Amino acid sequence: MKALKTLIEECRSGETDYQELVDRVPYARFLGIKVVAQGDELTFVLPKNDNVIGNPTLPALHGGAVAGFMEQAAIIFILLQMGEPRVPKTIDFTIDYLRAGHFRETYAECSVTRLGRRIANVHISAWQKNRQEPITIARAHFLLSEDNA
Amino acid sequence: MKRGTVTVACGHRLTFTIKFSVFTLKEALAAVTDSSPPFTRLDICNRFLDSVRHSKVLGMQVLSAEEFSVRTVLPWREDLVGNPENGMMHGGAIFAMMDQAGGMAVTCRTFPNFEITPTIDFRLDHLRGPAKGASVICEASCYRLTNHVAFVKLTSWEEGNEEEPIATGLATYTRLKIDKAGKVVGQ
Repeated sequence: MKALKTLIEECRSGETDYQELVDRVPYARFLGIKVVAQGDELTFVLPKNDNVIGNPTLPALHGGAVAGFMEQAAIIFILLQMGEPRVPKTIDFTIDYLRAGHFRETYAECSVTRLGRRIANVHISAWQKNRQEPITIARAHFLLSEDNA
Repeated sequence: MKRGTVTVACGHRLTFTIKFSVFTLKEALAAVTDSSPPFTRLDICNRFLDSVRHSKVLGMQVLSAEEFSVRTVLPWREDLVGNPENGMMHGGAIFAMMDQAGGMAVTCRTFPNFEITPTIDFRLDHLRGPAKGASVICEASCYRLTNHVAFVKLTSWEEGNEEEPIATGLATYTRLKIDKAGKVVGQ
């Protein structure tokens, strides 16, 4: 397996697809997370997939699956933001569910509110129909470990 | 049970006949059991879990279910790993299990009725990372149930190490008043 740092540098330079970075994480593969890059802008995608259904009668997505998707999106996002990539560890993750997640593709985008030396604060928003109508918003803190990736 | 009649004379030409029944303690207890639902909180939680595809796919199980406490377990699995370098389970997998456990904690309070209770918000603090290979146990408790909102607190730890929680959570759920919600669990 390529060193994480090498992989990140290759992703940044466009040599390697961002998807390779996502697919390194078993849980991200379990959820089937995809990443779409438009220049430097990254949109994460949680494809429509039977395995992420929560309520079968509606059917609606499982809130936990959406949360896991958003947390993973944030982790990848920070990795790419840092000059010297260090593996982020989740300190806390807070999510607000605004609308029902329908059984369809879900998108997420992240913004780093503050990237400190040790702690990163990230805002994540997930939507289905359009960005202006998020189904969930989340806020998370990550500890940026001492050891370089 | 003993049955009988007693005839009581109350003056000239007027009598009452009183029927009586005497239950033994055992029979009385049986009568109470008969009027309670033919399923337990654990049954309902298991049926609830069976209906939620994502939770099944995660591999979570219900260990116990009481009015104020639900315990679930999420066994460690290779595909739930977040950091391939140390084999630690992903925070998202732990979150998904705890969110489901919280929903069940509400179910245990509304028992014997089953309601659809979407999460309003959930905060999870990761106190420490679970070791590679360790199953994660979650205890959820709905400590306040109002007409429309349920308040739940949750704690998780590695199996066999209850003294050192790996995560704590606080969540709220809303109670949707949907007719026939119980059919989800076969009511």
